[in-house]
Amino acid sequence: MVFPATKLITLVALCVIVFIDICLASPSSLVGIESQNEIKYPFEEKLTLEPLPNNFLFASFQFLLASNDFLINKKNIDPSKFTHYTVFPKSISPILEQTDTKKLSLRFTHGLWDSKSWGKLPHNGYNSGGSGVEIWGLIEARNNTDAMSKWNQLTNQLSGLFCASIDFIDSSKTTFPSNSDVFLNNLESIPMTDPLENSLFLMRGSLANEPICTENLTPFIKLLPNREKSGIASLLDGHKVFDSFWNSMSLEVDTICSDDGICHYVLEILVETVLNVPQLLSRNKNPIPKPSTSDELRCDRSKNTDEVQCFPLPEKSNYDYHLSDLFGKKVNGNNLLSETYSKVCMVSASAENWKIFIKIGDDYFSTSDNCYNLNVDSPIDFFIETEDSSDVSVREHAPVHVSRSLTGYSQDRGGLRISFWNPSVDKNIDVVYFESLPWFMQPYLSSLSLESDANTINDELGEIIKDTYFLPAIDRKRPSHIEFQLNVPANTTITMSYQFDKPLLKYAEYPPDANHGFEIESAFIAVKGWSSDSHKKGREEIYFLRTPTLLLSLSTPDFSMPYNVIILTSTVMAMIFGMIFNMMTKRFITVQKADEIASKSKIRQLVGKLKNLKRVAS
Amino acid sequence: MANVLSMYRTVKRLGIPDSQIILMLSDDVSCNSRNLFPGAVFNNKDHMLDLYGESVEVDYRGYEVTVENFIRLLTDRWDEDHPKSKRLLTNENSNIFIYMTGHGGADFLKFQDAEEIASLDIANAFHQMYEKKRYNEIFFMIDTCQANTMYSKFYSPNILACGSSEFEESSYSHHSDVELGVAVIDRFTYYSLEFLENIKDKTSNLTMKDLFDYLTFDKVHSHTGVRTDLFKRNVSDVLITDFFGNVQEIIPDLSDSDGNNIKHGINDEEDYYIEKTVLDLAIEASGNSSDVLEENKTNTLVLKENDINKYLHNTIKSGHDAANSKGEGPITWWKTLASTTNGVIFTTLCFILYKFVIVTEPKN
Repeated sequence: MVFPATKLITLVALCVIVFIDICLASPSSLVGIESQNEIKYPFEEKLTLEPLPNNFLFASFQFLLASNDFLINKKNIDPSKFTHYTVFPKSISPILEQTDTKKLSLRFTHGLWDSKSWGKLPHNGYNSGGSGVEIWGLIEARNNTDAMSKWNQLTNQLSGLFCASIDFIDSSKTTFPSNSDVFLNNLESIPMTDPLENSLFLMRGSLANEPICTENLTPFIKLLPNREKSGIASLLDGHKVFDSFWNSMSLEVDTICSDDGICHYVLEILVETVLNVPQLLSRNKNPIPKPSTSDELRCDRSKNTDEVQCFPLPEKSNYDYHLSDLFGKKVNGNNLLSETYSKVCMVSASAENWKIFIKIGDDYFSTSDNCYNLNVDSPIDFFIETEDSSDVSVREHAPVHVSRSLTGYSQDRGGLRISFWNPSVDKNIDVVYFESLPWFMQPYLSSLSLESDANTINDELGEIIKDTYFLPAIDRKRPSHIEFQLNVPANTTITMSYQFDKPLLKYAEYPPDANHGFEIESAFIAVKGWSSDSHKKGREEIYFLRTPTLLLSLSTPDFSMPYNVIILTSTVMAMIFGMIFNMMTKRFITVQKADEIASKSKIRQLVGKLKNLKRVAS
Repeated sequence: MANVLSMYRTVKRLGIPDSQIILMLSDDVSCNSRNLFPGAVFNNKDHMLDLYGESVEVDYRGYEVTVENFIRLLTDRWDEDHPKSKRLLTNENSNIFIYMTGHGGADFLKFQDAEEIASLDIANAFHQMYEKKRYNEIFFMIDTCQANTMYSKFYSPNILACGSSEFEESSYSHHSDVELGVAVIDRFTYYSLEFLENIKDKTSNLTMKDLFDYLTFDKVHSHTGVRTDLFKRNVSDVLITDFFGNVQEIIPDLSDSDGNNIKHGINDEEDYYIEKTVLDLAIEASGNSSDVLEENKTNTLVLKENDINKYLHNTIKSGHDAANSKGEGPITWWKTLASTTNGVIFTTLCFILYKFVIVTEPKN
């Protein structure tokens, strides 16, 4: 994996810049204001292209920014001093300061990453969430209640900033993950404003299948110092980014401090997308897919081919296209702020088969490592050429494949089934399974059972599940929170299942489209120590993945008007009909009169005669 | 959906920044996988004009689009954590344009296929806004079946209202886009947009009367209605840009630091200037999010407000950032204003609020 390594280097580079800043600051102005010529613009950007199997292309836009220095301890701040923003977005730091957030991750992900054919997720899955919106925050607070109120502030502010319903993440959707050492590295080094009174709370919430569209990309672009005017961000266009099979936008803010309490924020923004190249190229010709005409069909002539039969040939494998064919635009020169050039790189296994050329004006240039620094200010295009598009770099395989599904069909109970497949031949892996279920799924841990496809393995719970953490839900206030530590043996599938109840909701709690079902957020899995490379440390040692979301159907009242009208009118009609029918077929008379009439009826008389006869006979 | 976005496009094109537009969309049509054109919403089957554009900002979407939130938005009754960018930050100098569209009927408009807002609800909310001095003038525009009933209950001053169809009359969609399989826009909004597209910049002298005259029965196929009795000005004097555009005015400061009136020539370099910007709000409500591409969705509303003032001392250059960056705009200005109380005259701050509705096949 090239990416994490480069990221580390760039982070280090940023730190150096900031360090210089500190040295240059005069002792009296601790808040990092320097004279004009010392102002730095710690901003770097890089576009990485990577071909994937089946003519997919993975494009990753990475932006790294750092803020100016500030003091972690607010009491020491000289109120007469200004704070300055250089490249760091003005909208982010007030939110973080107001809510005492030391670390923030926000992920907008949509689509399915096909890990069986594409390999591992980018950045070991750290920067992509489950389908929808996912938010993590590390908040300094006195206690849980305090943390929750700050969290509510944070989600409300972010919902205004990022045009998403993040404010729906309230206490009924928020969990405090317990294995924080797995989910975060170097927790101890995160500084606190008031270490005596406060502690740090890791909080997480997510919105399953929240729609992600241009209105979410716009705020990300607005965080960049030069917007989409120059640099690689000029390629970012909602029409292309979302015309993809998988896309992920993420924002990661860390507070980094030196020992003397001088801190700065580091912000990493990633916009990543998986494009299908043939599809995009054909869309350029014909925006609406139409069947090929007969002379465009590529038929296998060795088989029987006539007007109605055509055995298609495999897709062609030689492609050449400009980057502007995929993104609709050219790169608008180097970014105007950064001290380093914008970078565009192509990662591929075979340098012979995949070539990328930079096109400036009408001239094409190339480099040996397929990496380019954009050092011109005119529009730049790239030309990509391959003889064999199936010859792609083999990404590392994902260490585990997990699938989760709902079982059962009744309206009052159901089940969950989670299967873990460890494809490795000889390596057992340790997995943390994290799941947060809405309060209207009430799981029974007593029904937890395990199955395995390997006979040699003892299916005892204790052999597989090393540790459990379970926090039951409180209706309407808190979700169920499940964390299991499992050991999945090599080359084995472990299937875990349990049952849950579905309670009834109150009338007003159903969403407008209740019959659509309720989106259940992804479970999320952290794989520890999967890497054979023992040099990797910290978060790079851990691989994260999410299951797809689930759609749970609860028993839903029929809100529709026809149903209510039919029920009501039927009831009224039945009552009226019954009464009228009774009145029309019966007469109301007194008992005496009834006896009188009865005594006169012929049947009565006949019965009376028979009785008399019987008496006489006896 | 295209209805609301048409209005959104117009106000944005005429210079109102996103921070002053509140857009409510109940559907995620544009990036839904059933949309053949990801990230795009068109107003016409020629697919020339993409209303979703490259930098749309939706303030309320999906389940957030409810009657309650809409009324809260108008009356500004929120809890303290509610972000600034999702509030209607207007005052008595603000012009507000509200556009709503969706499925409606006599005296109601459906939100989300699950609840309705009644005409009296809106009328009461407007009156509350009037009492709280939240607007200077309101232009209310609605495109739904029997739309004119929706403004019939208004009783607060300075409201100009316009609807697409009479009582017991349907509004109609413009045409069906065979390739997308839906009718994308309604007649009333389509021709409004056609008219508004002719306004090339903020200096246009076209008036509201021109707009109303443009929407004839031949075009709209229903009787559009205009209500002017609450409105003090003559509609032929009201410029379109009073509600749809961000018009900057230079106002001479007529008072000195002690508050005494003094006379200054308008060219006096010592004058203070106030730049007027416009705040728009667009809301699209309703619609049943499960059928996304179906044009019957209902919906919505929007508002646009226009407001606020940017105070600029001697130069007009310095203030542009504040208005453009979402979420930090109004506050910055308030602070600026607060810190420079001397000698600034607040002028016409316009607020516009829009509401849009999608009309489709005959709606009931």
